Amino acid sequence: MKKSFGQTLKEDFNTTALVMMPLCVGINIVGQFFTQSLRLPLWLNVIGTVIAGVLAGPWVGLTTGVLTNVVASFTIEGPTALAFALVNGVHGLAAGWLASQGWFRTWWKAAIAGFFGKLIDIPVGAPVVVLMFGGITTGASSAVTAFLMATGHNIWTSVISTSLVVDGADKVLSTLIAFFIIRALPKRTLYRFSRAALNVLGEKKEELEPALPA
Amino acid sequence: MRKSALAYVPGNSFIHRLNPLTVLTYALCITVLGIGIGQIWLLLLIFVFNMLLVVSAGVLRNFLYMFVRVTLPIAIPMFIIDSLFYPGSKTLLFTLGPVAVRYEGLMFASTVISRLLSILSAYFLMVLVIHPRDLMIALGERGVSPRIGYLVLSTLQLIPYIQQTAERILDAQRSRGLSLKGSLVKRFKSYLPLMAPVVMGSFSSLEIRAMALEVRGFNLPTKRVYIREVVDSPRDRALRRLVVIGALLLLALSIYLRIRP
Repeated sequence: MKKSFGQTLKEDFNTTALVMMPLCVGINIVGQFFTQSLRLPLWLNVIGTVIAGVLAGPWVGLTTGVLTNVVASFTIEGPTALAFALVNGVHGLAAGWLASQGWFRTWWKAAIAGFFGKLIDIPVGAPVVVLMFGGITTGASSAVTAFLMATGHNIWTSVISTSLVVDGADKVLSTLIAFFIIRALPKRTLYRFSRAALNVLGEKKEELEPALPA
Repeated sequence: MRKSALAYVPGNSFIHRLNPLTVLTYALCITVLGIGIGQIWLLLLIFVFNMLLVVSAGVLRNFLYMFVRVTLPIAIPMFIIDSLFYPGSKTLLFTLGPVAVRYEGLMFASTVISRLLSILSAYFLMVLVIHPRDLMIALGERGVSPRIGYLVLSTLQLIPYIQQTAERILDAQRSRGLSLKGSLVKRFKSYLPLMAPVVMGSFSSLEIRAMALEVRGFNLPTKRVYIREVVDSPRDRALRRLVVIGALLLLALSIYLRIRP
């Protein structure tokens, strides 16, 4: 029997998922903290979002990404993150959808899934970067954008190609790290989510007969 | 590591006493205006108005501290890069040694910066005068699911804790000889022994947390009540209407000024 959309959402957003989402936001933030500690020229700030998407479906992933930036906005870091809330969110959406198509069972497919996430975040992110931040945000990638603009490229071309090349690698790595983290989770944890068993292990959830007639 | 403390500053000003939804409406209207308006002077006018609100809320010091730290690292390089390299710039204004400042680039940079200032200042004001808890209560009273409130608030509580854990793990791994220096590949390899304990540690508490919620009736379909009360006075409702109407008028004025022959 095909489940209604509302029913699916209800199963995706079960109590375990609701508890997991804040943890995944924490993973996003800590992921970025460690990149700063190690002075890596990366962000690695969607690891938690991707984990949430794979374990509990695209809508939980989307919510986790948006939640990350909404919560960051209320801290002394300031509300700049709010402008990029959807950019983080679409990575969860993409990961969740691709995971349901079986893309998170081998590592190289997961890497491609990460790049796909980057592709669909461009129409969401590039307008914000160009129109609100003039093509320049903090971070190493802005230097590349500046270089491209200085050599006579259109501002949109500069922002989009920087985004594809520099952030593309970043998102592929984030997704790979998320993939290996998920693989290391105990099965018992996976079974508590609505989609993890199918998405990660390829097991169809058995519909249990109700013990007592309703 | 910078501690992500809340930006909220307690106070008893006129703006502090408003319903959080009123302030949120204001910030959303300013966003629409910031995107819709093209005139630099109008955008700067909005920014000045926001600053007046910041001063009247008595949060100027915190505002300046956050605002300068967040916007300057974006605004200064952006102004330089856009005004010098903005593609398609033709009209030469003046030259400074080897670099040429052109009209189109300067206009683009100025527009973007005034847009950035006007929109961001409204949100900085919002996070300074609203405690997220009050915003969630106000939204909950408007029929937004208490689950969303739980998500935001528990995340806010969890973040300082998980940051502490991260710092402890960093210290622990370093005392075991993990190096934070070296080549890029080497540093990247150090990333996993840092990340894995954080993730595994937090996921191991998952089941206990979920069960704790369930036994407390988290999923009961009853209406929730809150210990804290957030008032929505008639004054708030009137102000919200005023803000929306004012924003629409300003937007209309901006469009009229642009298409006027």
